[in-house]
This record gives sequence, structure tokens and C-alpha cells, in this order.
Amino acid sequence: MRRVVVYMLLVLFALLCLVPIAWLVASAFKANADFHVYPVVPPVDRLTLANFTSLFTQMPFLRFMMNSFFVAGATVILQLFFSSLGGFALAKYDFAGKKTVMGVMLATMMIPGPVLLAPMYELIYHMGLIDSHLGLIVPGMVNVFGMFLFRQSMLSVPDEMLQAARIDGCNEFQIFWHVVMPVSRPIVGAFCLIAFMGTWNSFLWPQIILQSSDRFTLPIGLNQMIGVYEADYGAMMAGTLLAVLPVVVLFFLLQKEFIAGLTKGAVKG
Amino acid sequence: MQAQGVDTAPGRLRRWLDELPVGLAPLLIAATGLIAGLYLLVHPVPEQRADLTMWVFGALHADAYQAAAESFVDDTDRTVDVQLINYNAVNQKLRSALWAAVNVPDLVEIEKSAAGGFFRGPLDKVGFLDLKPYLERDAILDRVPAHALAAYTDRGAVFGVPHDIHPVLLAYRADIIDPYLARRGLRMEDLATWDDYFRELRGLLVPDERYLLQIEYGDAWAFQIFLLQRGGGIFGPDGRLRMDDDIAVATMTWMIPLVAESGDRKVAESLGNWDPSFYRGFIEGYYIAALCPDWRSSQIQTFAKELHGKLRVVPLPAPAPGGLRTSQMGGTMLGISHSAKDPELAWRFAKEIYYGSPEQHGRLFRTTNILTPDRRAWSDPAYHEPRPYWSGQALGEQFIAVADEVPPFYSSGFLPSAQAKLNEAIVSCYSRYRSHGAEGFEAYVRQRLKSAADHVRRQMAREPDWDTEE
Amino acid sequence: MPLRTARTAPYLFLAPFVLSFLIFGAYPIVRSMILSLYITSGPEAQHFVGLDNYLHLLQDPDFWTAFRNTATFALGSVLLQLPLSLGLALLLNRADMRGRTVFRFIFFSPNLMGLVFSALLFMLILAPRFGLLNAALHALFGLPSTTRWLSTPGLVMPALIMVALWLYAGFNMVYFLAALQAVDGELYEAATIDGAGRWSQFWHVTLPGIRPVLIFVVVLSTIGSFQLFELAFLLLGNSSGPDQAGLTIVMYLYQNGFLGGDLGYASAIGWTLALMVLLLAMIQLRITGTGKEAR
Repeated sequence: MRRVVVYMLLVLFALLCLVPIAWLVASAFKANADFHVYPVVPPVDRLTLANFTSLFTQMPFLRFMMNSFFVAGATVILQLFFSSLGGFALAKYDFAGKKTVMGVMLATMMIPGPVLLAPMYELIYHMGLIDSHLGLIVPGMVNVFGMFLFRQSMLSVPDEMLQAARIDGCNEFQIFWHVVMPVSRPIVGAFCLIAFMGTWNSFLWPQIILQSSDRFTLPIGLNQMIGVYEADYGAMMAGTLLAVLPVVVLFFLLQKEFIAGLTKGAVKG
Repeated sequence: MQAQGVDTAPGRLRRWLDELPVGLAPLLIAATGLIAGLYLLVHPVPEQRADLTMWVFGALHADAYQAAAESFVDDTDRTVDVQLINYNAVNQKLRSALWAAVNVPDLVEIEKSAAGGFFRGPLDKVGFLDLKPYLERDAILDRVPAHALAAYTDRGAVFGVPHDIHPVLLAYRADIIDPYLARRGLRMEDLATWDDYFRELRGLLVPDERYLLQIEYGDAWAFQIFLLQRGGGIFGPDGRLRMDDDIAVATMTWMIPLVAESGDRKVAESLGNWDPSFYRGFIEGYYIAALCPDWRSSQIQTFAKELHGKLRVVPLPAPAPGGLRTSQMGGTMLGISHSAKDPELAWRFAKEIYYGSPEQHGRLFRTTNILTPDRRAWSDPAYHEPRPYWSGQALGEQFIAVADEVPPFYSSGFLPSAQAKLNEAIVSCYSRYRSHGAEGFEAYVRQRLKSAADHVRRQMAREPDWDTEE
Repeated sequence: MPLRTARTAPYLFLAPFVLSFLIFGAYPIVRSMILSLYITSGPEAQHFVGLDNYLHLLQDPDFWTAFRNTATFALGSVLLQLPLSLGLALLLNRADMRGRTVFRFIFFSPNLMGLVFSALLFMLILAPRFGLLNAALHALFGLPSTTRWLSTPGLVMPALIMVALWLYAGFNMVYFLAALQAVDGELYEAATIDGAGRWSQFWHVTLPGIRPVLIFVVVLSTIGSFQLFELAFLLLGNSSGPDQAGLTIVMYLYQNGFLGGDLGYASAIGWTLALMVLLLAMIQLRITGTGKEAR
């Protein structure tokens, strides 16, 4: 009996989670005029692909997608490299200034992004990176959260493994690459997903930096549709649906690692 | 020692994957990134070194200017890059661009309420050129109604030229109101004041089903329309804040009861502000008239096709006999940035799109219903065509008739702040009326507006006198 | 020899990170700190006011409106999130393995959508007549379908909290679920032997067992809630909502800086927020006594 109640509650919440998404899917195939008439689901015979065609004709949607993939890919790989190296250093070494470094970085996580927009813009300009993808990738290399995540996880790598590798003659980087990283694979998976999601959904900074619409990423591109003179709801929903798919797919593939890695990092507190 | 099958290609691949220190995820991401990168390499962004760049936030404007840019190339052999920027982003981008002094467009369209913010600072450091010399030199000043320039003038310098005038008329359900009035020997044009309007149409009021006017009190637009109609304003011509003067108090005291009353004393309601719910309400007769600036009239044509042939426009009923029959709402200006490399060229293009041929303006009017401030264009036939949607009225003529009387709107860097405070005041007054009714209402309004205005004044007081700095 | 490289190794490993941090983190931070001491209007117009921005801020009713709204959001969000995600995790903990994977995916999927795209979706879901929410409330409970969530002052925050809940409940649940599964089963057995009831077990075994994660989630959620901006910005357009009901601290920063042009004052707001958040986090950590708990 208790089991039934548990499952009922779970199903209820599952519905609450899924219904907006289902509505998204339904709306992507709903004609614009039908939005007023059929608030939830249009009858099957009125489903249409028109939104998708208008999506691709009204704007360079494919290009937006490619931009997003490129920026996300480059950013995540760089972040992964720097954060894992940094996290490793913080976890497995003792050196002067360690506490200061950690303290400063922790504090900076509290600073709200918009404060830094103007000076950052100025900086990126002087580097000649305005309206370029590098202008997104390069500042994005810094991921303090990631570094702490890796540190947390790598703390639990037994020191004996490192010592053994040292005795075998490995240099420190080799230890990092061949010993620590393979063991940290779950956290790598988790981090990749988080970092990918972060970059994929990044909005404010790209909106300021990118100016040619050919360089827009998906969030900026889709938001464009809400122009002053018209609101193409159907295409907006179609675009949103397509924009969300890559993350869903990635999560699907990485679900186990993600959960494992994330919680391993957090549970140790 | 090798087991059977492991040395095959897939086996080797699998082994390699398994041994990869970082695992599958980064590989996948790197792979997609690479593919995307290749795609981008193969389809590079065409490097446009256009001679002029222009930022526009309205899709319709962008299309029109794109066409103009194409003929501009033919005429002058110079290119114009018209970029469509998201409305919500334009101000932010412009501000960032001006701040970092980079990538500032030569020409930019800015919405009226945001424009004032860009005029702050020392006069010679404002990000836009003073266009008055150009206007005078090319004899355009007399072609444009003076009030249209008010919002974009600061300390005597004209920082932007107006795209529009945006006169406000009353759009009403002719199919409902006209027969009703006719039965009583009246015409809509006879209702010269708001008092006349509400008195004569009272018979049509059905609480919860049919209201006489759509008023969206919550976002201060309706209030500003009425305020301007009465000769008031948020700011005065000298940059002085006047949102709490007698006219403002009178406007608020008059407007709030229209929406805040109950039962059959409540004559106005709203379901939305020119969004889908609004159109639904209008279509279903939930309200039978709405305050309609020219640019909204084209929206309603698109989004409320069911009202085809059922609507008409008339000048607004006046606040008092002999009063103003129109008002103003919204606006866009075109500015030329201080850092434009070739201001003459930019001005030339500006003239093309803003003060071009009558036919050009006529075409714009046909698609957007927007009345150009350029008087010379008003003779174009497009403004005088009867419109079936509007029961055969020549829509252009209706707007032209009131164009010269449109009250001026004065801007200021503190306009957004003032509007926000005004917003709050309106909502407070609404709640006050709902709970206490008319008793002591005017005194409350006066005090409430004053405290809102004082807040803005305190902010204004902090503003250094930029022009005496140095 | 390993010892020598071991000495320089950490510095080398940290170097790229620290370098990019100095350029893209430290420099802008310092620059905006300096900015906060000025009233600005454009790149070449700065007027030094020292700490006056901060003094004005303390008396600025709009800032306090923003603070109230943000605090309301943070409070409502955290107070609702916590029981919800913890509850879901508890429920899921009792489910079988297969069900757990499926439900976990479902609960997490809102977070997968991401903030920006969810905001776009919810803009339509919250629409008055044809929006999903109103249609559903109307069909299920007979409520009027004309509720204007984003245009009614009293409903804006609840709407934002609702969307945030939808987005993040599953995310936090994942943390809790893992934490629950890490609690030693033997402790429960011992408690049952001692005659403790379910509620008592929850209070004395579960909660202490997941305590680090609990604190982690609370602190993180609070910090995140106080920085609310993009969600409100996307849903409410450029405005701060009806009667400033959607004005958050960061939104106020944005308005002053990017709509009003005074990046100096905006920076002051930003730094005040940072300080508040820091203080709040420290208080929370102090109250819950991090790290030192009796076993």
C-alpha cells in the first residue's frame, strides 16, 4: 500500500515535470493561428511542420546550432583541461600560497556576472576579440566551480597510487594523465555535462559580445525572434525544441557518470 | 597474449577508448565541436567591410532599410550593413559599445523612452552627433512637425531625428457603437469629450461582459497618453520633472476610477496590452474601444483578422470641451554616432530612409500604418486609400488630420526611472481607490505622485553638472 | 628527482588557470571596484564620488525594493525547493533500481532544458488565454483563464519561483538521492532495534547523515537565488515587471548600468550584492557548523 502511494506521488511529480516539455513538443507542431484555439494539443490532422520550415527560412538556424556546438566544444575541452589540472594541483600538493589561492577563487564565485560586463567588454575589445567566437571561448576558460569539483574528487585518490607511479619514474604530468584522470572518469563525465550545459545556455555575455547574426549562438538567435512587430510562437517553440535536443542526448549518454561524478564530489562535502 | 578478435579494428578502437584517460564524454564533445568548427570553416562569415553599419531593432524597419541599402549601393557605390538587433538587447549593446568605444554603429535606431539615457554627460561627449546643423542645412526642419523633435533634443542639440509621430486615435467597434448611436440620432464624431463618450455609451455597458474602453493601467502607457492629452508630461522642456504637477494629479484622479470602480460604474477594463489576450478581448467585445497609435493599428490588422470591416478610428474624445483630440505614444529615433567615420555619408543614408521619396513613405505606410513626420510625403496616395479593414476609412488621412496637434514628449536620462516610479504610483492609487473609494482620493494622489517624483529628484540631484566639469 | 619536479609541478599545473583568472577574473573585478567609486555617463565622463554611491544605495528605495523581491524569491525558492527535492529523493530512494533511473531522468529533464530555453517556453506557458498553465488551471479547477501571471504585481514572484522550482527541483534531488544512498544502512538497523519510529529515524539518522549535502545545497541555492537575473529578464522583457514586482538586485544593477548608463552606480550595487551574498553564506555555514558534527 505504501508502495502504491510512493509511486503515485512520483508519477504526479513526473507529470508536472514532463507536461511543459510535452507542451513544448506539441506546440512545435502547432500552427500559429491555432495557439488561441487549441491551448493544449491540436487535433492530429492539424499538426504541421510549418514551424520548422519557417524557423529555417526566417533565420540561419543551422548556423546558430553550429556556432553553439563549436563554442561549447572548444570551451568545454579547454575548461576540462585547465580545471582538472588545477584541481589536481590543489588536491595533491601542498605549496605556498595554496590557501590564499583557494580563498580568493572561492570568493570570486560570489560575484554576480553583470558587474563585470563592462570591464570585460573593454578587455575583449583591446584583444580584438569582439564579435568573435574566441571572445566567448577565451574568457570562458576560467571555471572556478570546475576546479573545485575536481579538487574535491581527486582528494580521494589514494596517495599510494601517486607514490607508486613516482617510483616507477613517471613525471608529475604523466601521473596526472595516466593515473589520476582514468580514476576520475566519472567526475570528468559529470563535469563535461555541466560545462556543456553552461556554455550551451550561456546568454548574457554572448548577447553583448556577438554582433553579426551569423555568429549568434542558439539562445541569442532564438531570442531574436521576439521582435517588436511580431511573435512567431510556433517557430519559437520549434527552435526551442531543437535547441534542447543536444543536451538531452548528451545527458542520456552520460547519465550514469554524471550522477556518480556529481554526487561523489558533493557528498564528501 | 591476445585473445581472438581483440586485434580487429573495432576491438582496437574499443580498447583505445577504454584506455583513454578522460573517457567518452570529452571525446564526444570534442568531436561535435570539431565537426561544427569544420562547418564554420567551410561557411565562413562573409567579411563585410561595409561603409556604414546600422543597428535596427524592428524587423519591419530592417527589411525596409535593407531595400534602401541596396539602392544606396547603386547610387553611391557605398555599402550599408543593416543589422537587426533584438529589441531587448539594443540598449545594452549600444551602451557597451559606447563604453568600450568599440564597434559603435554609424547609425542606430533607438526607442524613445531609452533615448534620453544616451544624452547624459558632457554635451560634447554625448555618443551622438548634433543633427541640427544638418537638418537646417538641408531644409528639413520645416518639413517635420516641431513637437516630433522634442524627445530627442537635449540642451538645444538634436541628437536624433524622429522616425515617426505616433499620433493616437480611438479605434472602436463601429459595428457595435455606430448602430447604437444612430438609433439615438448621434454619430461617433459628436462625442467630443470623454464625458460625452462615457455618458452616451453607458447603455452599452454590461459589467463583466462589455466595457466601454480598454485601459491597461498597469504599465503606465494609458496614463501617459491621457497625461499628454491634457498638456502634461513626465518631464518638461527644460528637463524639469513634472510628473507630480496639477495636470498629472488631475489625470490620475480622473483615470483611476474608470478602471477601479465596481459594478456598473466601472467603464474600462483590459485583458492584456496588445498581446494575444488583448486581441481576443477586442474580438469578443469585452471592450469596444482602445487607444490606438498608428503603429498598433497595423498590428491589430494582422492579429485580429476577425475584426475586418468592424473597426473605425476617430480622434480621441477631449479631456474638456475644446481640448486636444489626440495624444502620443512611443517613438523611434535615428542617431548618427559620434564616432562615425563619415558623418556626411551616414546623414545621406539617413535622409534616404527617413526623408526619401513620398512613394517610399507611402509604401511603408501600407505595410506598417506608420505616419512619417516628413510632411512632404503626406500627399502620397497611400495615405489616402480607403482601407477595407477600417470600414473603408482612409486611415492615413485620419492620422494626418491630428498630426500637427500631437503634444510634445520631453525626454530625459531619468525617464526610465521616472516611469518605473510612476508605475508604482499608479498601482498604489489603484489599490487606494479600490479600498477607500473616492474619499480623499485626490489628496492621496497628490501626495503619492509627489513622493514618487521626489525620489527621482533625489537621483537627479546627484547628477553632476557635466558641462561645468573639467 | 621526482621530488624536484614535484615542487614546481603544482605551480605549473595551476599556471594556465591562474593566468587566465588574473586576466579575465581579477582585472575586471578590480576595474569594476574602481568604477563603483564614480558616477559615470559614458567612456570619458566619470565623476569621482568616493563612497557616495554606496551611501545613496543604502537610502535608495528602489534598491530595497529589489532587495525585498530578491530575498522573497530566495526564501520562497529555498524553502520550497528543499522539502520538494529532499522529498522526491526520499521517495525515489524507496523505488526499485529501474524505476529510479527512469524517474531520475524525468525529474532532471527540466534542468536539461536550460534556463534560457525554459524561459522562452514559460513565456508562452504563462500567457493569459492560450497559455498551458491557465488552460490547465481552468480545466482542472475552474480558475479563470485570464490570470496574467507576468503582469500582475502579486503574481510575478510566485510565477518566477514556480519556474525556478520546475528547473531546479530535479537538480537538487540528484544530490540528495546520492547522499541518501550513502547513508550507512546499519545505522537504520540500529535505530529500528532501539525502537525508533520512522519520523525519529528520519530526524536522527537521515538528516545528520546527509548533512553536508544539505548544507551544500542550501548555501548554493541561496547564492544562486540572490543572483536571479536572466530568468526575470527573459520573462519580463526589459522591464522589472508590473509595479517593479520583478525587480531583482542584479536586474536593478543592469537597469542602472545598461539602461541608465551609470556603470559606476551599477558596480556599487554589484559589490553590495556580493558582500551580502558572502555574509549570508558565512552565516549559514556558521549556523550549521560546517565540518564539525558529532558522530
